[in-house]
Amino acid sequence: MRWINLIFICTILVACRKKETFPTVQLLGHAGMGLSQQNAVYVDNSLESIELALSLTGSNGVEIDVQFSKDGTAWLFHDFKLDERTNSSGCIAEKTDEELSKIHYKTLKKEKLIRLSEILPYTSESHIIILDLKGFNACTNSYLSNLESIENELVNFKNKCKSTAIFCVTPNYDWMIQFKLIEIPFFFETDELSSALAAIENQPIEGIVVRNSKFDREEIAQIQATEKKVVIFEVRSPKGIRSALRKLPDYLITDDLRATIIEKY
Amino acid sequence: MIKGALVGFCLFLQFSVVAQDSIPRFETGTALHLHPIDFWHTFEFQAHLKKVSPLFSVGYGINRSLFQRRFFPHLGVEVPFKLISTSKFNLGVGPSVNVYFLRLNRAGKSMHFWHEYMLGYRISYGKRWKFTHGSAAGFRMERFQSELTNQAVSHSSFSYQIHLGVSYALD
Repeated sequence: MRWINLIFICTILVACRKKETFPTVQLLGHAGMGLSQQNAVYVDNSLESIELALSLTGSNGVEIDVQFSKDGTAWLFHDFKLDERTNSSGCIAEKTDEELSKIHYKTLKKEKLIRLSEILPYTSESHIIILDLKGFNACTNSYLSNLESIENELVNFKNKCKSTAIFCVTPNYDWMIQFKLIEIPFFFETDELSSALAAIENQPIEGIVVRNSKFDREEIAQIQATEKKVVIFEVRSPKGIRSALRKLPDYLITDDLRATIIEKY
Repeated sequence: MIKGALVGFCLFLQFSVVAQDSIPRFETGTALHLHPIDFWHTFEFQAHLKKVSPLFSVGYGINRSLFQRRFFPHLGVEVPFKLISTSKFNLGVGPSVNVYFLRLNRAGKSMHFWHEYMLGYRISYGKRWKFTHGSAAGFRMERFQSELTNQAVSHSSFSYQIHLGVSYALD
């Protein structure tokens, strides 16, 4: 019995050791509580998942995946096609709002697809909202061209949202530069430092979005030295979370919000 | 409903204990559990009665406690009903209740509580030293106070656990 007590005491001592903190890094839930996470409780981009992520103390906001319906309304969904994860098929861009309102995920809780506007009651002034714009239509193999309609939808959301920090993200540079309204700041997503620096030089973007595995601390500091912000994503395990935090990004999009909050605080 | 179930469980346990006419046997052991929230390491104490073998466990989440250095305690009670009971092999099925809690944010006041209700089986093989294995499935409730809205937030989800362990018969 003595050795059992010893193990228990050692565990408590290890658990209570002082650790580093990262006060400047803001934490955002990836698509709510995370993408394909066992302990996420709800499916990604659902209203329940976003609400839970925003209610956690220590969470600074969410990153959500935005696609546009045939009617031009912004809906939240991650994949290019509906087939695998919902009771429908095809692409968001090929469906009307009425058709999309009947779709739900193939999960135990059957969460529904939601419009971007439905998250408005759950946001606050302190929250950051990053809109990952999925402009690619996999059914027609082309990017959406009704940019004016998209911009109006996004600006409409921004005007109604209590959050004052709303950003858009896209990995498609050519598509991004076509947006004329710069009321909502853009982040450019890339896997290469040269591409990031070129985008910073040529476009009035807010910053760069990078994968945790592709950039090290020095490269991130190099981007931050140009007075642009850096967002890191693709962070899941405690080891990955720790390595991402040590790179001191401005924002960290995490798939395990609870574990990241533990690491940060 | 939960209080009623707990009262019923305690009464049943009491009745089972009173109904025994054989001397109970005891075991102590340790196990590792695969679970959606964390990997658990538990220390267990089990009593073998005539029809049931109640088990009490205390443990901690390995990921949170050791790798993230945030102590994550776990308390559990399991009551497997004996289906097969020989000198070497035991198989039981029954309910289990687990409770665990964690303060995610040291800067905040809110504590996260989870309580879990599952049904599963438990196998042990061996005479003095035993190899144990079991699994269970059920649902889990998470509850915490949102400091943003100052309201209690609760969510339920499906839960499961699979464990492997060793135990030692004390008599």
